[in-house]
Amino acid sequence: MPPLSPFSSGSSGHKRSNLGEVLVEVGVISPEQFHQALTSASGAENDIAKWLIDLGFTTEEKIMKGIGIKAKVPYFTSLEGLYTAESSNIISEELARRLQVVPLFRIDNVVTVAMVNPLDVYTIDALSKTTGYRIDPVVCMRSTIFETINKLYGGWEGSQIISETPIQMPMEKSIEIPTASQKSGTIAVTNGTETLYIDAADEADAAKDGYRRVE
Amino acid sequence: MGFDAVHHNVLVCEDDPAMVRIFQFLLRQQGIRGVITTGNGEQVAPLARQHKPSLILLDLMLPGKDGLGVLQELKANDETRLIPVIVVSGKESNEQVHQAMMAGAIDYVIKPFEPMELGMRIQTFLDTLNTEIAPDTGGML
Repeated sequence: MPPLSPFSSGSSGHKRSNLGEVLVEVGVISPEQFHQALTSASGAENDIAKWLIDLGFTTEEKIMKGIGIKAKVPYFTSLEGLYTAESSNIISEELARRLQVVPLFRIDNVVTVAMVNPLDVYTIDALSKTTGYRIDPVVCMRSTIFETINKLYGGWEGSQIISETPIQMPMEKSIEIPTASQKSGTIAVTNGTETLYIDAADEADAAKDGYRRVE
Repeated sequence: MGFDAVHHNVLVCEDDPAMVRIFQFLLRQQGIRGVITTGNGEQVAPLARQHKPSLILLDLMLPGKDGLGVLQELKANDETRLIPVIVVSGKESNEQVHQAMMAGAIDYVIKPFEPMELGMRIQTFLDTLNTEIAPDTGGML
């Protein structure tokens, strides 16, 4: 399973231990389980989700549900039925893959988007600037995000797409997304497979986890 | 489309705007354009009496009046007691489900639900309802 670091990165201004605290707060795990997982992770708190799952305290699905409860956004185990062929017109495949989001539909001036971390204000801001609409996030597992992106942009075989929707979809606008270096106090770091936006003050911690700054 | 969706309207009782849009989308996918929404439990019965919806989707945790109270109010009124109600709630205890079904709900869907499954349940239900309604009633119960 890929690391669940977006939950615990500094991209939303939260400290790295916040995921565990959030999961305790919403009742997904007990404080004792949180501390045991922290001990097992030898203080590497960005691995807390992996350890909680490996120790059998919870599941990825329950973690995502907990995040949804905390962020007060709907959580879905499946996105089937929530998108149409026209959903791919909302944003480009490249942007969907880069931001790890699935554009679902637009109603009035709001675009509903599935993502892993609904607290990621930079992604939401980038989507809002790109589409020109307000963004409503829903939460789902990372595996579901990529599975759906593949169906939405990479062919329709095996998926049940309803193509007769009368709902108008917005076209992507040519607005540049600000890079991390343009955001005050924020830097982009990568481990080669994913890029996180974190507070500059957290760079040393990120380096310990194998992330390096994106120049 | 398996049923005459244009004759139906649905009352969505949900206080989370994001979830309201999810319901709106699922209903539009079924061809239903008549969607009335409220996020306040006290407004459900008056809106039901006013619009006579074919179906009500009801969250149990509503401000103003809780969903079970709303359900009892709907079933106690001759104008609204026959309107079918599907409860869509994050409350998943057997007791909650039992209470809602005993209060008159026709179905209980637990959040998080499978969007496609809920859409199919709505379509199947309205399809069945459509065959039971005389053409000159305009789809209203």
